[in-house]
Amino acid sequence: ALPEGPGCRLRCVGPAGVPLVPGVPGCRGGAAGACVGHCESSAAPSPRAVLAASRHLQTSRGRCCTMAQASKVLVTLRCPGRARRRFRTVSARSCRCDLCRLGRY
Amino acid sequence: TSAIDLRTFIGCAVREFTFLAKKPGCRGLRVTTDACWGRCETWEKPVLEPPYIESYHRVCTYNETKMMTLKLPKCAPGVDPFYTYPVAIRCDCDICSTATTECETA
Repeated sequence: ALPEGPGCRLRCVGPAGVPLVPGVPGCRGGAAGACVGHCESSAAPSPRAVLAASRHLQTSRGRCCTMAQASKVLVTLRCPGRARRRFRTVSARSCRCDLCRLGRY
Repeated sequence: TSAIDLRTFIGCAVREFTFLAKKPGCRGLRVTTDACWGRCETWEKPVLEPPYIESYHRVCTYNETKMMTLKLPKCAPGVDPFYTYPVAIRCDCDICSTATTECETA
């Protein structure tokens, strides 16, 4: 569930019992920072410069919740048979409404 | 009735928008129409395989439109006076469609 209200916020994901990503069957735990929230965007008739250049009659402008600062981390998961496995990932340190990754949809 | 508080609104809505319809050789005309505005659910989360970040990015954009055409005033001879623009019928949080839309970010 997302936090209510506008803004892009740092949230800890993967507390005990919630895996960071499916595909590591039976393993639990690990925690790292994510950025979640609602950023402003809009769409309107294109301004003249856009009409002249691209002929698109409508223009969209948007920002999306992104990791402003992040660090590489190793997280430890508890796996079946009391095994512990370590995984590389990235943990957000701060969040910001910024460039949407249009090409990553 | 309670007014929507734009400062806290989340979601994607049809909202009035005013602009100046203009082309070279004609007078401009102020137009108020329906466009899209909002705050969509977006996130970036760590994942355990490369590239280690999963993004979910959506923007408030046109879902359904109708086109309106108006005639600009006092156009010079030889200048096409008609100006076409989209009117929002429905807006949704979605991927910006580069086929129909100029997609700008940040």
